[in-house]
Amino acid sequence: MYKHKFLCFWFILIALYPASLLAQTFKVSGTVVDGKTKELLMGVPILVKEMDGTGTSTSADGQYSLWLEKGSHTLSISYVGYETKEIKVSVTKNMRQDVVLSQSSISLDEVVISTERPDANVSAPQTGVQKMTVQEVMKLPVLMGERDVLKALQLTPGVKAASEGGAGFFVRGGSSDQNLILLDNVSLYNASHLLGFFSTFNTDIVRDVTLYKGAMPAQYGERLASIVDVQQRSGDVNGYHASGGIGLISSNLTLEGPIQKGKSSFIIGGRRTYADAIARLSGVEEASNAYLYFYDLNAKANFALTDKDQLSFSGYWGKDKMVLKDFADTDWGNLVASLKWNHRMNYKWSSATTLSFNRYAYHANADIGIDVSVTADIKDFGFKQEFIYNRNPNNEWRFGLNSIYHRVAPGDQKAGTARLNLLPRYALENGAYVSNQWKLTDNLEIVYGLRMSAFMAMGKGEYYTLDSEKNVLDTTYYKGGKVVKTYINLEPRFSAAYKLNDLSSIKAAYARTTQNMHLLQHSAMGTPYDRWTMSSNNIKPQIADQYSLGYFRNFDNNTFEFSVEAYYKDMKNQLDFKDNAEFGDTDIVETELLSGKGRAYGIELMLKKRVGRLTGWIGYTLSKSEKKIDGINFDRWYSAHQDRTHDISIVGIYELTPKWTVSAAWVYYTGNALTYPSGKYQIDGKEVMYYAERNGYRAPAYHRLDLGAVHTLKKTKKFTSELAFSLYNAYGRENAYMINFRTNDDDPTKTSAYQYSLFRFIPSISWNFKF
Amino acid sequence: MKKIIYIILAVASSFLVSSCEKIVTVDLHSVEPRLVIEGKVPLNEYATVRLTTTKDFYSDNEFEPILGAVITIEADNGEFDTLDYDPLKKLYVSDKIVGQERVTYNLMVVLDEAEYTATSKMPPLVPIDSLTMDFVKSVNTKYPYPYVHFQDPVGKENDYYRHLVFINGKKHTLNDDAMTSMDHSDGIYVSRLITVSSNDEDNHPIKKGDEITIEQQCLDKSCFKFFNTLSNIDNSMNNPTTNIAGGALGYFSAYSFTRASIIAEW
Repeated sequence: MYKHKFLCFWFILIALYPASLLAQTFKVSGTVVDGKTKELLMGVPILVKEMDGTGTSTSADGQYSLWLEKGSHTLSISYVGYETKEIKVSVTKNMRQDVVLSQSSISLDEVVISTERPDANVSAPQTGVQKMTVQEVMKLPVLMGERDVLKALQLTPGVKAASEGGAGFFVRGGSSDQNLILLDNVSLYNASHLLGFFSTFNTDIVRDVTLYKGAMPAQYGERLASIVDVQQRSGDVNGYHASGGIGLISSNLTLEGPIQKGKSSFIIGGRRTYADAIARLSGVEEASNAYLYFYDLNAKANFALTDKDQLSFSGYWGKDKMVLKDFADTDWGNLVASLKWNHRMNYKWSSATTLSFNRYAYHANADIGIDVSVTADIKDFGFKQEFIYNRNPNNEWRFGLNSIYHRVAPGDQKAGTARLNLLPRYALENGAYVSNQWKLTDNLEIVYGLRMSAFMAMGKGEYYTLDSEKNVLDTTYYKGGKVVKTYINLEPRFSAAYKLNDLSSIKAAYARTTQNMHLLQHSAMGTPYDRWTMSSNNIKPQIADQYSLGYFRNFDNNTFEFSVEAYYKDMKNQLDFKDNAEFGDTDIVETELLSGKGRAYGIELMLKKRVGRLTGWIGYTLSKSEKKIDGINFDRWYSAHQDRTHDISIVGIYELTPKWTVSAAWVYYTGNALTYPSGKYQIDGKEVMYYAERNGYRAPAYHRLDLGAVHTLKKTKKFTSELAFSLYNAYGRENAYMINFRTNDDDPTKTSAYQYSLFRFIPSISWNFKF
Repeated sequence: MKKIIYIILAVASSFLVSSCEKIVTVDLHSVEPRLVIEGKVPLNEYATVRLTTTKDFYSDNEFEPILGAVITIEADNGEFDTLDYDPLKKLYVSDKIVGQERVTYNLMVVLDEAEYTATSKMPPLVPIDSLTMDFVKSVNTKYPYPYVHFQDPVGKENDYYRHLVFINGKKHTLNDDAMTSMDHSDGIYVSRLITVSSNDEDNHPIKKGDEITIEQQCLDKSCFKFFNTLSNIDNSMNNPTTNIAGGALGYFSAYSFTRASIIAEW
C-alpha cells in the first residue's frame, strides 16, 4: 500500500513539473535573408557549433527556430553561394536572431548541388521527393537554348518525358494529367510550350522546384501521380537588377527592384521564341509562311506591410501561337494570378491566406473556303487558408483548407454558318487537411496526416442518366449553384525515415490520393486541344493507393548519394475511351468512356555525385503500368500508353577550368506501348489496317545525347555574362515520333510502315547576362 | 469538327516533321485471319457481296475471294434471293434483288458453320444540285477542289451522306470518303468541299481538263457510323464499327446514290 502511494506521488510531481524547468531551453528564432536582395532564403542549414548534431534549416518562408539551453552558443550558417557566417548568441530567454548572409564574390572550388541539409538524401523524412534549385538546373546541358526545370526533372528516375514533341510527362506509371503543376501554389493546366519542347517556367524567375512522386504530404492533393511545386523568386528590395539572354531560339529579360526601398519589391520576366530559327534548323522551305512561337510573362510583387505581415502578388501569362499565313491560326495559353497574405501571429503560429485565379484557353481558326473555328477554356477561382504551428523544434503541425470553383467549357465551334456550343460544367473542389512532421528520436522522423477531399459537381448545366449500355436515358437540368453529386474521400498520408546510422536510412511511405479533373486524350500524342472533364454522377473520382520503400545511403562524406526505391500503386476508376469513341462534337462525353482499374509498380535507382569538379548522376527505372477495363482489349490487362520498361539517364557536369563548364546528358528509354496493326484488309478497293491488340506493341527505343558548354565571359560583383552552347541530339539519332501504316506511296501492291522523326543535330548559342 | 483541328495540327507539324520520313520494318504479330464482308444494295442495281479475309501486313495487296459461302438477302417488301458466286466479277451477285428506296434488307452469310447477319434500310435519294470547282488555300499554294451542292430534305429519313470521287472515271482511293451527318443541321442547303488528297506534294491529283465525277450516297445510320469510324482509323486505331453481327469485319449498306460530273477548269 505504501509503495503504491509513493509511486503516485512521484507520478503527480513529474506530470505537474513545468517542462521548461526540466532543462532550461529557450526558443531562438528568426529569418535568414540575402543581404543584397533581402530575399528570404529557404532550406538554409543552421548548425549549433558547440552541439554536434543540433541544427535546423529554414522553412519555405525563410524562418527557422531552435531550442537552446540557457547560455552562450555559436550559430554556424553555411549555404552555397554565400559566405559562411558565425553568430554568437547569449540565450537567457526566448529571443529573435535574424541572419543576414552576403553573397560570395568568388566562385567556390567545390560546387554543392543540393542546398538541402548535406545529408538530406539520408535524413529527410519525406521520401519520393526530388528537389532542384535553379543553380542545379543552370548547370545542366542547355536543351535547345533554354534551361528548363521540368526538363531537368525528367532526367531523374521515376519521371519520364512523354515523347518528343509531346507535352506532359509521366511519373511512376501515371498519365500526364495525373500530375499537378503549381506555380506559386496555383495550378497550370498546360505547362508546356511548343508541344512539349519548352515548359512554361522561365528559369530566371524560378527559385526552386519540388517534385513529389506520389507520396505527398496532406497539404497536397487533387492529382494521383505527382505534385510539381514551382516557386517564383521575389525581387530585390534594395536595388535594381536585370538579367537575360539572347539566343538563336529564344530570348528573355528579367527586371527586378524595389517599389519602396527595403519594404517592397517587384520582379518581371518575359520570354519569346522565334519560329524562323526552329524552321531553319529543320531545313524546311515552307517556313516563309509559317509562324510558330510562344511568349510568356511572369510577375511578382512583395510588400512587407508590418514586421508580421507580408503581402505578395504573383502572376503568369503565356501564349503559344501557330500561324500558317492565309490558312490557319491557332493559339493556346495560361493566365494565372494569385494574392497571398502571410501573417506571423507569434513565435509558434503563422498563417497564409491565398486567393487565386487561373484560366487556360485555346482557339483555332482555319479558312479552307469556309471559316471554321473552335474556342474552349477552363477557369478556376481558388481560396486557400493554412496555419502552421511550430510546437517545438521536432514537431510542426499544418492545418488548412482549400477550395477551387471550376468552370470547364469544352468549346464553341463554328463552320461557316453552322454552330455547335458545348455546354460548360461547374464544380467546387474542396480539401481540408491536417499534417504533422515529427522527429520522434534522433533516428526516426515521420510525416503523417489526413486529407479529406470533397468534390461537388454542380449546375448550371445538363446532367445525364445512363443505362448499363451507356445510352442516355434521361437528361436533367440543374440550376446554377445546385449540387448534382458530392464525392467525399479520406486520404491518409504517411512517410517515415529511419536512420540506420549517419550514412544510411530506410524510408517508407503510404499515400491515398484522389483526382476529379480528367484529361481525355484521344490520340497517342497529347495536343493542346485535349478535353478536360470533371467527376460527375457518371464519372467517379480516380483513387490511388501508393506504397513505397527505399534504402538511402551516402558515401565518402556525403560526396555520393545512392538510393533505391520501390513502389507499388493500385488505382481505381481509371478512364479510357471505348473503341471508336466519338468526342469533340458531343456534350455527352460520358457515353464514350469506360472505367476500370490500373496498377503500376517499379524500382528506381539513383547514384549522384554532389561535390567536386565532376558532378552528376546516373538514374535507372524499371517499371510497369497497366490497365484493366471491361470493354477494352477483351477485358484483359493491357499496357497503359505510358508504360515504359527501362528508363536510363546519365548526366555529367565537369568544370574544365574556372571559366569553362562542359556537360552531357544521355537518355535512353523503351518506347511507349502503342497499338500497331496485326494485319490488313480491303474496303471498297482500299487497304485498311486491322487492329487486334490495344497497346500490344512498343514504339522503337529512344535514345539521345545532348552536349553543352558554358563559357563565363565576365564575372564581377556587379555584372556577369556567359556564352552557352548546346547541341541537342548530338549523334543525330532518328527517334520515331510517329509510325504510320499505309499502302506504299510508290508501289500500291504492298503496304509499308513509315516512320517520322523530328529533330536531329540542333545546335544553339545564347548569350546570358546579369547585373 | 475535330478533324479541322487535326488538319491544322497536321499541316503545322508537317513542316517540323517533313525532314525525316523513312520506311521501316516493324515486327508485327500474325493473327488468325478474320472474315471481311462488303455487302451492297445500291439503288436500281443488283445486290452484291464481296467476301475476303484479313492478311498479314507484309504480304501483298491481292485479296483472294472466299468461296463456298451461302449468302441470302431478304427484303421487307417480300423479296428474297440466294446470291451466286460470279467468278468474273469475283463477287456474289443477286439476279433478283434490285435496290429500292425505303426498303429494309436483311443479309445472312453462312460460312464454315458460322453465321453473320446484318440489316440496312435504304434512305430515299437526294439529288445533287450542282458541282463547282474552287480553290482551297494551303500553306504555300492553293489546290483546286470540287464542291458539291445539295438540299438536305427536312426529316430523319436522309441525314447521312457519303461522297466518293472519281477522276477521269477512276475512283480516287488515296483519301477517305467525305462523310456528312445532318444530325445537328437537318434540312439546310449544303455546299460541301470534297478534298482530294495526294501523297506527292508536287503532283496534285486534279489537273486542268480532268473529268471529276462525284457520287453522292445516302446511307443509313449504321453504315454512316462504319464509314465515319473508318475515316478516323489512323487516330483511333480501332476497327471501324461494323453493322454486321457474328464477328466479321466490313459493312452491309443499302444506299441510294446519284452522280454528277464537272470538267476541272479554272
